[in-house]
Amino acid sequence: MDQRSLVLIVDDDRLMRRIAAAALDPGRFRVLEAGDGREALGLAAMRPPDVVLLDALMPTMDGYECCRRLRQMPGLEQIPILMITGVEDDESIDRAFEVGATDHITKPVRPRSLRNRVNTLIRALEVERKIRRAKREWEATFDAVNDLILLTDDLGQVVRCNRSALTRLELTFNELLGRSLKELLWGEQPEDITPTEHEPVDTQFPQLTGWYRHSIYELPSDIDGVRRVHVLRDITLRKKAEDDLRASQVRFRRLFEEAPVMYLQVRDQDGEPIIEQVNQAFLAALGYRKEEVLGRSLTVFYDQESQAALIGGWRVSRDQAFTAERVLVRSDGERIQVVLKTQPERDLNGDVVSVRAMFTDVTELKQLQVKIMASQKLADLGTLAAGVAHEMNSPLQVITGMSQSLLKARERGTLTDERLQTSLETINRNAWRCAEIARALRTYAHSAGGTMEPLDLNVVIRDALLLTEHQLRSWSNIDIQTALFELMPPTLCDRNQIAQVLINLLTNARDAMPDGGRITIRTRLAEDGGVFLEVADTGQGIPQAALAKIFNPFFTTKPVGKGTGLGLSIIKGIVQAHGGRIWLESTEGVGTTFFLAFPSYIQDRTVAVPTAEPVGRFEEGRSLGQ
Amino acid sequence: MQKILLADDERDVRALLQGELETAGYRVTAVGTGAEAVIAAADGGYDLYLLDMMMPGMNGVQTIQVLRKITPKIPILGLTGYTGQGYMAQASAYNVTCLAKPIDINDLLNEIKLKLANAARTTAPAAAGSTSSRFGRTS
Repeated sequence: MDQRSLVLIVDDDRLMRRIAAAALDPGRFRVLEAGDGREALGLAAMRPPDVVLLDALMPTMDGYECCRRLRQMPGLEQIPILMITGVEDDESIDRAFEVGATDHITKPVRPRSLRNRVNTLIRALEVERKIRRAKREWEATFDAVNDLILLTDDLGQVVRCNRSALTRLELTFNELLGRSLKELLWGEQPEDITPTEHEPVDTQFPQLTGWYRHSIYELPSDIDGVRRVHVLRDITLRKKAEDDLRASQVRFRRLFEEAPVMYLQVRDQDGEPIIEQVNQAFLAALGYRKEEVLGRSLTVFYDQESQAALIGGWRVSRDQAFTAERVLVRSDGERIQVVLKTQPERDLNGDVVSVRAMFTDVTELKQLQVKIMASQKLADLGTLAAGVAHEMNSPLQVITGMSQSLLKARERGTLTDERLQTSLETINRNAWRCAEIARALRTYAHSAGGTMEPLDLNVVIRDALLLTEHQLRSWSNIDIQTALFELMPPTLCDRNQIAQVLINLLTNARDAMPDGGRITIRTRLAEDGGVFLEVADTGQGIPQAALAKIFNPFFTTKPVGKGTGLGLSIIKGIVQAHGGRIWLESTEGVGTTFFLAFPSYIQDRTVAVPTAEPVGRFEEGRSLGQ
Repeated sequence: MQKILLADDERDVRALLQGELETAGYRVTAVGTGAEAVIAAADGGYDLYLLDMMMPGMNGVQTIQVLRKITPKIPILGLTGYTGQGYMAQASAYNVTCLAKPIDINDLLNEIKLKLANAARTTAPAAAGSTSSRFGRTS
């Protein structure tokens, strides 16, 4: 686009037009020529000029009339119009300015001075245009700002304002102009707080909804009657967010205080966890007052073992989430078993400023676990009792009957030595069998347990079979086969618990074979010296879907009312407590085999659990082969 | 001489009862399972069955069911070491008296005598002897 300014030269003298055009720098100006006023108006309407050089005296329409009309045309109100007058007389100069000329020059015109004059006018025009643009931009900015901006004079009356102010106050500029700001914002009510220049005030105005931050800027001296600039920034949302935050802080504070879990906040001080905050549940559980706890090290409330563990644990829990079992000591010396969970609290830089610690009291849970194990055993014992009664009654029948028969024969005098011998042998054998059953039952029922001793697993197995074999064989039509490796190294175990495991597995196997079948119990030695125990049945097998959950507490495939569902979860717990592992292999319609691996115990040293295991079996319900 | 079929899976019990019953004047066939008892009963010739209620394979109740079918009139006495689980009720449904182990031998002999007498009274007007079976007489 042509950047040159467009100059319209109006003169009835063609030579004069030529001279004027030649005087102008062609690099900066383009020239349009008109021979009279009428032609000039037509050209100006089509192509609005930047500068007009206008001869005052022309036929048909003179320069004065032309100038007057140009000034009325849109866009030409401000352009420089240089009137060229014939003679230097005051009257024609005054007339030129009257009709709107910007300047005048007297004939004869010298080209150089014409050029200088035009250049000056153009420069002035450009400066003015820049100023006007800047003003427009500033006003647009002023209006675009969301803040309410109001300019007041010495009397506090509004002189100017931006669009936001008009919108918010629901007034037009004319309605607002000249009214006092105080009246506009506060209405009839007295002014609340006035901000100073350095300190804005967060406030509400009776005439506006919401919250505003009111700032005032004083002008050093009166500029166009303006003394102060008021800026009102809408802070309603921020205020609401702050209020919400404060309310939620109060809520969380209360939650922390009243939560039924023991809660602490600790901070690291020279490697010690110092308690910064503590909630009611913690104080109540330990029987301390708040002031006895705050500022002290957490170690004070641990038992010796937990204190030792804490030294290592604290280094970890300072920087990352951490879970551990600990023992807290109450003010009365009683111990509380807890599960501790920590979570570091970080500042915006990611540095840990404190650590939150949550304690869950598991004392009752632990006691409950023991009770559940005991009650599970009682339940097993109940089903056993029926079988045991039969086990005992048959040999008792032999003992009572045979002794009675001996007495009768002796009365009649028909008792031979040979008969006495065989009968007493039979009685003796059966009496011992009763004693053996009673011992096995007592061993199993003996609730104290807890003693770990090196035992031959085969012995425990035979004991368990003594209690159950006849029952399984006679009642459930189950054939029991054993393949026990006779040179087993001892296993460090709780006889009771292992018997419980076996009886549970046998009972499960029985329930899996309602129409009878075969149970095979096998023991063998692993290559690394560990001990394997297998209990296999030929039952219905376990559905694939149930395999994953089989070791979960309360999971059962038995009908409601039959089986507590605790069996396998307890078995797993016992096996793990012995340092062993349990897994199983099951095929629907073929049978299930449970595999148990225990470390063997040789000369006060525990050999690792056997690691070799067949592919495709399930350990704790997890498929290893897939 | 009256003939008793004895079934018990425990060798010592079997030997004891066989001896006592023979001393008391009965002829005794002793077997170790329910299935053997059924086979022996099919041959016929027994006046009373004395069965242990818990045996491998066919248990007491199952054995009774079969015996009642093939020889409905022969009295049966049951013996059980365990008195629960409705065995007694199941047995009595077949008109079988169940005796709990251990039992006094004299009491057992009295029970047997009573059963035989009752059976003789109810069957005497109808049949010539008490040893008939639907498979015919064998002795």
